[in-house]
Amino acid sequence: MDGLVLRARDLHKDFIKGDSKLQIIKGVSFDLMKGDCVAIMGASGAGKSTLLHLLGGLDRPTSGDIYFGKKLVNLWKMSDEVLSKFRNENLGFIFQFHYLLTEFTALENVMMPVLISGESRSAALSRAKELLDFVGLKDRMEHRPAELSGGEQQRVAIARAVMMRPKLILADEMTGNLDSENSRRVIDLLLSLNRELGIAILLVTHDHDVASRMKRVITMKDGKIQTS
Amino acid sequence: MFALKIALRFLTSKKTDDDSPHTHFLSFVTLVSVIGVCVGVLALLLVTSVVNGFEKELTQIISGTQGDIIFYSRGSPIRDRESLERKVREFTPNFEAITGSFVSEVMFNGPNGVSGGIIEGVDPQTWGSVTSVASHLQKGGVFPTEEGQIAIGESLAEKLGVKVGESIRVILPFSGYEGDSGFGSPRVQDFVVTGLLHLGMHDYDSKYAYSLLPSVQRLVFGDSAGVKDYITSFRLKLTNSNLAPQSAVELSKHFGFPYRVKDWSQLNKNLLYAIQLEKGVITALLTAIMIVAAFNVISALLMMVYEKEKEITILRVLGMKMRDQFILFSWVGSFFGLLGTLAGVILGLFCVFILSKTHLIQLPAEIYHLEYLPVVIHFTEWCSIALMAFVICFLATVVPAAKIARRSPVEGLKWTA
Repeated sequence: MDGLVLRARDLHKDFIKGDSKLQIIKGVSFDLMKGDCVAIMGASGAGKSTLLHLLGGLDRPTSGDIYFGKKLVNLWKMSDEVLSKFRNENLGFIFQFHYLLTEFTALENVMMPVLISGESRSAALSRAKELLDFVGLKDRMEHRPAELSGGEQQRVAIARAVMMRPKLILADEMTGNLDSENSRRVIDLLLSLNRELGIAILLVTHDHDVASRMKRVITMKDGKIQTS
Repeated sequence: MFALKIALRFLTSKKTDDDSPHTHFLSFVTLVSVIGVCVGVLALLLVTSVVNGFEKELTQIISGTQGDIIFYSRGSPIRDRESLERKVREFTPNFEAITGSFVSEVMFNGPNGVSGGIIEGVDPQTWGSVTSVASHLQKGGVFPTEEGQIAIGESLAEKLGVKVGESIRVILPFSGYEGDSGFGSPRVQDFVVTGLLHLGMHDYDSKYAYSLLPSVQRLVFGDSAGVKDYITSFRLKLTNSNLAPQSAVELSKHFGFPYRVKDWSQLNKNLLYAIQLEKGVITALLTAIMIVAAFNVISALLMMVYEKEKEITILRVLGMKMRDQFILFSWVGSFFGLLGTLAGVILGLFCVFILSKTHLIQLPAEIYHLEYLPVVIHFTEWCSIALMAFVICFLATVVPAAKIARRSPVEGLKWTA
């Protein structure tokens, strides 16, 4: 179990609206190991993003368990305080819409997870600069998100996602808003992080080219993982 | 402190996002909420300062005209003036000065008609050390120095139609005192007006007249022998006017009937009570308005949920705790309260400065007793109002801040996607 990063067991997620119950996730189970690089594919409404939110501790499953790390910590048995800290320290998130804070520079955005964790700004500064250099934005550190292109914004989001040296990056349609060239560059970047730092990657995408570059592809249909 | 830093950045940073209609975090709704708090604070500060001003002016006029304490005899006049004066001096805590006077209700007759009023015969040697009446003489007038002279309130003079140098007739309906010779026949005496007084309170200016003690004694007792020491009252000045109520109570313990002791706060008691009541009611009403203004802060914070949806969401995704997000938005809401309160205090100071220096707002003296709107700042009162406004605004932020903090990050991801 040394290499286990995440284990999902019999996950269900229902949404209740009025008298009707909508089952989005129907008994999903799978393991993610260290260095894994997995794409989740499926049609719209298959439950891909919802599954990602459950695995990232952003939403609570209706039933089922999510364990993390070799100690098999159950995410949804944690209080908000502990879960927030856990998310901050162990998980990196990248979304289709970069979700950068518009009032802050690229450098400050990258430092944000460290500042949230309560560490000092000086401790975060050098690593944030290093990461921005790594993603090719050395000269754009003091720029605000609105002054960056879509590809550059997504690269800032990637740098922010790895700032805390997470064990797992969860990416939701991260290339959805990018052209093919920028899409290729950010996936290159993500894969290099996977290779060099051993960070596990779980990526939701509609793009077959992107999915084909991952080590493993999971297909979802009607809230279930398709076995092929 | 991280939450504070983020709050400050949200509040001060210019937004460069092209898809947002707001260039700053301080949106129109926020501005309205800040202005609401500011106006509420300003109104409270100004009203309390004006009421304080009224109270202070009236207090000064009352104690300046009547002295801090009046010791008087009901019924017959005080005959043993010297020994009684010694006792009064001895038994009055915080004693500073004393003067004896003879007060009588009379009718004044002048070219324009008749008016009821009060004549007070004073001892010129000691009068000035107890009251400030003489300092209120209008230009060109003097205080009586000889018998048969009189200084009268300017409103009374106007009513009677007399000027300085002209004569008025003073009519005493009943001369003498019950117990001496019973009610005597009316007495009439002419006085020459030597000065007009502007005491500052219409009630006094339209009723009071001052002459020398022997003149009034003669008016009341005629040429009877042995009345030159007769007085009706002592007026006392204390080292601290605010201690008059306690000193009066202490003094009254040593004297029974026919003597009576009153302090300045018991004279015009109804007026002073009305002012206090008015102050309390207005403060309560304006505090209610303040609370309504604080509700705008709630609206502003709730509007913020929509404006800062992405920021709120990503901070939670990145690991910001509910508690920290609550603190963050409490800071933001408190900042609105603080901004409104500070603006209200600064505007209040400015208005009070203008009102006190220029007497900008004139009042009809017959109605309000005073001719202009007086203002007095009580530092502790201002601090209390500012603190109360801030606390109300802070409390108003608690509910929306908690609502924002409790939002699931997924809600934000759905709506902003």
